[in-house]
Amino acid sequence: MSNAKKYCDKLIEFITCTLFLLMVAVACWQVLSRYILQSPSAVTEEFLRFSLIWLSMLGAAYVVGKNAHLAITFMRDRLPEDSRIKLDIVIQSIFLLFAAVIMVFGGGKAVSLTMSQVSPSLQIPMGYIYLSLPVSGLFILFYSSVNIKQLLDAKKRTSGDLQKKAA
Amino acid sequence: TKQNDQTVLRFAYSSNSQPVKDSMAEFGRLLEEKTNGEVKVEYFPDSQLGGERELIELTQTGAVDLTKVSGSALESFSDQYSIFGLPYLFDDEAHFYRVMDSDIVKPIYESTEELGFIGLTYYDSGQRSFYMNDGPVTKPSDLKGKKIRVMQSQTAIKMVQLLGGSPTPMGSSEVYTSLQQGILDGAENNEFALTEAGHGEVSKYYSYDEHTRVPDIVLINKETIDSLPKEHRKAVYEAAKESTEYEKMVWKKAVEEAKAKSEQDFGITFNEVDKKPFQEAVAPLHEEFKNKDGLKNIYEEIQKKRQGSEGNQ
Amino acid sequence: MVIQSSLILFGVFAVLMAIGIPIAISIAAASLTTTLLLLPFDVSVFTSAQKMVTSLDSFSLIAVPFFVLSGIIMNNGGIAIKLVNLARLLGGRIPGSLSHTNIMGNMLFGSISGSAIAASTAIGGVMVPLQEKEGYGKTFSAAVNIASAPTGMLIPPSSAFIIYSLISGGTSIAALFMGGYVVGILWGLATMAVAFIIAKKRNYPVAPRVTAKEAGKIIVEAIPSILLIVIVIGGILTGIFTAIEASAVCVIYSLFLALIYYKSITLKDMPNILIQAMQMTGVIMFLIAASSGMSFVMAFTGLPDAISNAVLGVSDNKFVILLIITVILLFIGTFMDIAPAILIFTPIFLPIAQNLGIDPVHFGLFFVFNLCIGTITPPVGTGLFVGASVGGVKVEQVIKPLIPFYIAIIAILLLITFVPQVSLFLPNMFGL
Ligand code: NA
Ligand code: NA
Repeated sequence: MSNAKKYCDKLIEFITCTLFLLMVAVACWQVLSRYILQSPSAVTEEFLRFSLIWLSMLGAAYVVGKNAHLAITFMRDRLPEDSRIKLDIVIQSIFLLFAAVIMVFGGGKAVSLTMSQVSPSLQIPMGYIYLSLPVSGLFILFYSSVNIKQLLDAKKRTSGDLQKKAA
Repeated sequence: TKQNDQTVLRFAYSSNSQPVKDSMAEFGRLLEEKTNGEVKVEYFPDSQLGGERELIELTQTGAVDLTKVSGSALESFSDQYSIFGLPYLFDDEAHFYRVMDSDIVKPIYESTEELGFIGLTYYDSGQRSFYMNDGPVTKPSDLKGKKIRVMQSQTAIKMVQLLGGSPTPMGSSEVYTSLQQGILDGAENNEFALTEAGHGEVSKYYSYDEHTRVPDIVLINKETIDSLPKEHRKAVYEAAKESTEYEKMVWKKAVEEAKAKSEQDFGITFNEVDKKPFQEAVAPLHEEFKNKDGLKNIYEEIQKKRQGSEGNQ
Repeated sequence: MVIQSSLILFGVFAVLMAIGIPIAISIAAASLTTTLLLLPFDVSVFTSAQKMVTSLDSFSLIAVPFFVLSGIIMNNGGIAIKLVNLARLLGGRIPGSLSHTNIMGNMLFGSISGSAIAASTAIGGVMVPLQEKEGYGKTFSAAVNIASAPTGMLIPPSSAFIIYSLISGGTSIAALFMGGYVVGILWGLATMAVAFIIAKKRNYPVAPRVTAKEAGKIIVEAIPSILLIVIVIGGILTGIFTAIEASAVCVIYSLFLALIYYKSITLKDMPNILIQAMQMTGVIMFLIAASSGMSFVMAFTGLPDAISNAVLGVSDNKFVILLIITVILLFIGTFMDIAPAILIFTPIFLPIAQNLGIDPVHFGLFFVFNLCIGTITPPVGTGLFVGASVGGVKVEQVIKPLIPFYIAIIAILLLITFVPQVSLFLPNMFGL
């Protein structure tokens, strides 16, 4: 499972970094083309907007794997270790639920609703843009499952430790 | 939604000029009056619920019942609406009204039925013309090499190219600053862009070449309209139509006021333009639309409504 | 209905956030729960999904990942120390000179990197140990670093102003940026004034005089970094590129500096830099995506109108209403992060402000300034947490020495809130 996570990380890293560089290049091209060409490109702005959505969604999923979304951990940090692990399992489960309901199910609905809608400049189905949501939702499902598994392992270990101490 | 025998219809719209807002309010007033208060309209103004594309989607799913968007925003949903982006589709305002008040638009309104919403009526959004920072546009060559902001539409881009200008597609929020900083030399819109968006502070020449007339369209969720009892449905259609007549009136008045304000407060020069050379320059676009599947019929129908045409007897 | 749904909205949000659920998820879950009261399940879920995507569908937001990326490149580019040297030169002879160096370093670095966190880490990381060595109090040094870090969010480039411009319906970014200089520098001067008084009282040392030759070397070394500010702002003001496009130019220039000029990074470092930037983008954008769902629900239930009516019902005096808004925002800032606060509360307070005849640029300036204070106040403040850990002190220890700084900054807040001419003079001067 940790191997699968590594591959997942690598995949997202490769896609997002390539996209990021491409975005920088396209944005600069947008400025340059205004001065070099008489008719500047009509598609750069839309390309950048849509890329940002994909970059953000994949980035957000990646961050779930790294457990680095902003949270207020004031209370959590003050809990004893075994309660903290239990709380972390709850938190990850809420992630799981969120990704399943809003991102995969809701996002899937949005994709099917907008597949026939065409973007003004690139003339591609808007569904391709909304697709970023269920795709990163699936990644989040995967990452939080991995996190939960690790937490369950840790829980076993700590309760094992506690039992040893009690004995 | 139903609340104690009263049906409440949610009507969301993006930012709009005052006459259009007044007309949407008039629609609600008329509908309530016609149904003895059994149907009420609740408004979500000023993009509170999102931009035009989002609002159409919300109407599609029924999160809101009604919305009003520009015809150009509907191009993404139904090819039929792209006809309104064609420059010089209409000869003048009278031609525009003749078409929009006839049955020609019915298939366009119904073309989105499968998507879950239909057109109810239209509101006049006036004509769109060029306005520039440095001087008037009297002939296409005045646009040569000028960076003109256009909406993100292929037709608009091609139109400016055919006229010799350099089209710069840009979101509306950046236009003012870009005009001011000289990233843009001009833009194209109706007179309200000068007053309400403040572009008149920078662009001092407005030239009536009147290249397009893109109507605003009032949309309603298909299930909403189907689920209404027959007399309420009738009231919705009547209120819509009457609000359109009301809108034509207040729109004209507001345009006159905007023009006067532009001249007095901003010192804008308005000039008339001989449209012939402009029409000739964009003729290739007409050829393109004439031969497009699905648009051919509508194009011909609209042509028939021109002054002196056979269909216009 | 308004009261019931807002209780659920904020209740669910507060509970989830308190137990440590990530803020973005707390916001999204609370919004969905509230939407379910008003719309059927599948429509609610679709709407939540739609808002997440469409809220990011904005050209203005492109600037955020680009400024983040160029900030990280600059951060890795070893330019912090060159700016510290410059700041030392500028603040050298004032009592408590090392504190002033820290403050000006944060302002300079923040104006380049756009990140308060990056500034307080990079500059504070150098300055706090130095101050300690020369006998400055440890908690005082940490407080100075914390108090001056948010200037980087106000002095352009500033993502906060970009988000505000977007949500307020296209307020001129160029005007906000020019005003951002004024309010950011005022913030910095206020913290310098406090540091001056305390240093004088405690007899903190003054730095030794620098020779003209050394000074020249320091300035020459710092020029290429400072040039970034000139290129960005100059480019925007002369109309070569828009404020949004400036962010991409920023990336290219910082790449040039780090890879070619200073040679402080190599191409091999790039993947890691990009991954860092991608992660930060993911965090910020996910918050924006979730928050826009909350603004939608609030509009759908009519909450903005209700709050606006309540506030306007208290008084019709402009100053009283502004004071109420100021206090509410200060309270919001104590527990909420800056981006979601802008997204959620602009639609509520901007219409009230416009009703009172307040310019949207002016509103944006004191609004963002106000929320920036929240980043360094307890209980929740990223600037506070990071600054304390950089300074090697506990959050609880640093609160007391921060109090005089809070007072000075709030005094500036009141000044820019109630005297529009202060923050608007620069935008007006450039005709923006
Ligand atoms: Na900055
Ligand atoms: Na705070």
